[in-house]
Amino acid sequence: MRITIDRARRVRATSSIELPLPASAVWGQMRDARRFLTLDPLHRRVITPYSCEPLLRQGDHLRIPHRLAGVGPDRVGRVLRWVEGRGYVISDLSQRGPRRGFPHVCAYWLDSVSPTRSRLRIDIHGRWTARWTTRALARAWLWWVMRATEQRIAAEFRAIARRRETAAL
Amino acid sequence: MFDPENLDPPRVARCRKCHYVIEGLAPVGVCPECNRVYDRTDESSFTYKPPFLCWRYWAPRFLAALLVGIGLVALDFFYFGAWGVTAWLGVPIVAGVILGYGFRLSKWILPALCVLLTIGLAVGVVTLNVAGVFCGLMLSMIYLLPVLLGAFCGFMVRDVLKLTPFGQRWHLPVLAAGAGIIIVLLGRGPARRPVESVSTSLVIPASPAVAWDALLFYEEVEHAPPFLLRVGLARPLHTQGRCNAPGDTTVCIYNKGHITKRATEVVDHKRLAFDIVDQKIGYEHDVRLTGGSFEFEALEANATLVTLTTSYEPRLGPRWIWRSGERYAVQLLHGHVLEGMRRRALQSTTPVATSAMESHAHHD
Repeated sequence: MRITIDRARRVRATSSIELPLPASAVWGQMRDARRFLTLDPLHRRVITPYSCEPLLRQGDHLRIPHRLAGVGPDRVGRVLRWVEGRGYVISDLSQRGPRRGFPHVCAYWLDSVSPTRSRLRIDIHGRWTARWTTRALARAWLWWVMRATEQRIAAEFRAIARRRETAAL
Repeated sequence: MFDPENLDPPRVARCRKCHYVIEGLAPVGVCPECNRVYDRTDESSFTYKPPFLCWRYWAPRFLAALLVGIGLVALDFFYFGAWGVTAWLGVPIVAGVILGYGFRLSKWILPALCVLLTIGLAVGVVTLNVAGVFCGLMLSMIYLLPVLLGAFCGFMVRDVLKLTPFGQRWHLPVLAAGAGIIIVLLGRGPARRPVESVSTSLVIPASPAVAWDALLFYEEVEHAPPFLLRVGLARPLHTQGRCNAPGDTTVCIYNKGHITKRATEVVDHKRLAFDIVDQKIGYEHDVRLTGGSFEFEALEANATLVTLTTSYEPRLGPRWIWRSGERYAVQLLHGHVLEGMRRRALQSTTPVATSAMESHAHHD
């Protein structure tokens, strides 16, 4: 995991998780983005106010209630890119405006490592707007969020891999 | 008014075998992952259920309940330094509510998780050094019922609320934790409780003089203590000094510290009373020993009633729950000491009897 916050408070965070499943199987779960995005510990739900389609599509509007211990704001965003089989990019913005409350873009890209393994890369680009916090504190917070996300994603796909092995036996 | 938050998300079709999301693919085809045939017009060929990952349905709330419970006990102990009824009853109820409210498996599994939560809370309290092992064991018995009660309430609230469009229902566990803090604040127990005494008697088949010579403190007993004393109390190592006259002190060394006893009254063959002037064995927040006594009453020429009394200032509440457990533990300890004295008295009389028999045989 790598997190940098420069003097202009631009945030770049990258994380890479190796998963014990082929990329096609991981993508088969990631396609249900409403469910997959809630593996982020802060994302309580992913709501599409203007769409009732089962899958998200490029351009869809999102409302994402962010909750920590049950408390937090609802944020908004859109699906910026959707590349079938590879991944997607969403924006995550404050309802107060695109320049307030840590506006950022989350990208989830999937790569095949071997026929039985794959790697999921999470990229976050944004700007840390809370001037009252130090950069170190912001970095610590982002580290915790990304670490928790990594662990939840890894746990989810490990469990699915175990189910597949059991079913194969 | 249309509120998408109160609507269930659209159902997502998945492969029945590997749960690959088949939305957006051809209406009839094979799963790209496992090649299982599906037909979107035939619901038996696919499923809307996501892969069932058991831990997601209980582990997060279980951990939250455990952390909140231990956090509240720690807050009560380290910040307020008090033990009240609500700390022992309110905290497990709050933890149970959080568990029951967030639990999403069969209701028949909930009691088993309540037992696990109770054990977890007791282990957490012992690990924080807030209570000793014996208190942890007592605690696991005290906590179980309120945890079950809280879990039942939480489960019922969830059952009712999930059928309603109440948009703030995810805030309820936080409110429960907040309620726990208020309970701890309101439930601060009295700083000092009145001293209590426990007495235990045993008839030793020896004269008062022999019984007096066999007098032992707990730390000097040689035979193995009962299991509960072994795991629940600090382990005595040795003693320094004797209580032969008023003012004499004995320092009893334990694996976790020491106790210093000072004799206050010594009447040969009748009574030995002592005060505990210093106690540092790791149970200071559970109980503070204040003193004790040995009393000897001659029943017959070779029978002495020995009464052992321990006085202590209890620190744990509610008393109606803790008192019986404490009395049981002290009586167990008394029984162990008195048995040690009985064995020692018998040992000291046996050689006399044996030599008398030998002398009798020699005359024959």
